[in-house]
Amino acid sequence: MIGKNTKVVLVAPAVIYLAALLLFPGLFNLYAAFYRWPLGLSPHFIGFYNFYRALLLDDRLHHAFAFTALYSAVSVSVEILLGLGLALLLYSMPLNPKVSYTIRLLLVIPFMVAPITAGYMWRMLFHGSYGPLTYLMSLIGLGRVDIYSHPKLAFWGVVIIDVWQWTPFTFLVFYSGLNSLPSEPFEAALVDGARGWNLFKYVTFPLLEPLVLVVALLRVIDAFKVFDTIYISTGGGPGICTESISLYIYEKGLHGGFELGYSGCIAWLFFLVMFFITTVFLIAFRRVIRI
Amino acid sequence: MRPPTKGSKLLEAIGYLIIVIILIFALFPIYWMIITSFKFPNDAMSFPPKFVPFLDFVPSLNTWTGIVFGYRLNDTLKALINSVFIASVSATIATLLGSLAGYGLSRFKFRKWKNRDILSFIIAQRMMPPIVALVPLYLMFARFGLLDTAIAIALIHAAFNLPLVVWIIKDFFDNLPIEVEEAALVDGASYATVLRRVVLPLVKPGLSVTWIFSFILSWNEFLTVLGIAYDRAITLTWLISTGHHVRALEWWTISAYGTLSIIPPLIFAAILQRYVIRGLTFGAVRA
Repeated sequence: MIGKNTKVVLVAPAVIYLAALLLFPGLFNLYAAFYRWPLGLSPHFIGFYNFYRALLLDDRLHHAFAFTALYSAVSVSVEILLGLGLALLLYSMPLNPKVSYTIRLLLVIPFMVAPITAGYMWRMLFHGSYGPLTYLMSLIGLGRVDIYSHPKLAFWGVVIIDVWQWTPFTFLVFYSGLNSLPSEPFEAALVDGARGWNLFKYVTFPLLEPLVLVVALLRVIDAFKVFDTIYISTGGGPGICTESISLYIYEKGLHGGFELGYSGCIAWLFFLVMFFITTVFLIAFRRVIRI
Repeated sequence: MRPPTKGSKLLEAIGYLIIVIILIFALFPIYWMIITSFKFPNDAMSFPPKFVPFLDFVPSLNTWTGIVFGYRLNDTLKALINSVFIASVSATIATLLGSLAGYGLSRFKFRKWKNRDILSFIIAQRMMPPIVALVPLYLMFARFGLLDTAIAIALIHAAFNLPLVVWIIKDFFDNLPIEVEEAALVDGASYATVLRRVVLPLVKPGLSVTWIFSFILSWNEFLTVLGIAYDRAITLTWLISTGHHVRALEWWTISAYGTLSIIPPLIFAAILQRYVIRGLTFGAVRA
């Protein structure tokens, strides 16, 4: 009735396609990592030197890594806290369904915008000479600074782009989550006299926790890959202040360097870090997340 | 269930105020970009900036008719055609391969490699940062003479979006009773007929949702385009990114391209609002 190979025919194309376009390049990077290989010249085997260089000598890479980690931690924390707060606020307010629908529809917009466009918008808003936000800041006496070329403020400048794009997303997820929670635990807790903060701490949050963790994980994975918004708003600058790992690999591998071996080595390390973060996260929270 | 509200007018007013602030925060950047695309250069570069059309400045179509669809018409058309081509081709490949795999993983048990292993393999590809694959892909496509072609970019985008499609479609079938297919098979229909006559109509909404998702993700993607394209295969995102390199800072031009670039995602988002959350969280949330 059903051919024995039907299931293989169904699944194999996707697996083969992914292997050809993503797994194979990944393996190529691992191979190249053991060579000194400027594009156009023949590769020269150097053993673990690239790894040694990346792990111990390359300060610029360490800076990029520290920046990316801090950027991800700050952006995702802000997004989760703001999104959760907003979701609880809207959830506890008796809103007209039409109003609530309109709000949700409008809040889909920011994360539908291309990251490159988002980065550009914010760069324009904070432009040192004629940005509207620069103007508003100068009105309250903060002076006219272009935050994307300021060594300290540039960090916050790129964080705000991510926060702008993804807070609406976390809000919508948590809001939908709140609306689909079962009502029995709340009824029981209300009968027992739980109110306000206690209700949130002992009933709402535990029910919502798996969702919060899944969103945090997805956002951290994406934040670590950040490229577009930084590329267009600061270009990694001023200097290398806001250079993320992706930007650094691009710089080494394609843009100027064409050092296939070294960029492959960093790329491979990058993938390992992502894999490590995800695994640790899933193990640490295996109590609440089931995938 | 909703917690009881205290019914304080003041708290409610504060709540509405916060909502308004959040909406302004979310929408003002987009508003600013759109009005900038309708400003004359001297209005776009004035300080204090001009906030309200008709009141502060006279809106003009100068950027649109003179630049975007004027002397840069060739670039604009090339980028638009490439963007549409890449997004639709990659969405079609991803949906086709991904839905077959999603269906297979939902309906059959694999023994040698377990369903879980195959799924993990597919999802792990989503964790792979695009930049990691980009340099080898660049060399691969250079070898085949496919650098700076739209098809190369479409193939890569399809690979990036395949995992999401597999996941959504598998989730879709997990929630669809298998009895319908079994009944048709018992009635003597061939498996191919069952797929075409029974399964396909059922899954059609799911397929269109995933297709649109992949379309938007590809339409918005930039890094691959930056790596692979430099002339023939440029897309809208590429035009936006180079706006400030090619000439002096032409905010109005980039704004116009930015405005063009957000139109399709906005239309689709309005249609799909319900599914957006579920899709982007790999089905973890049922909105």
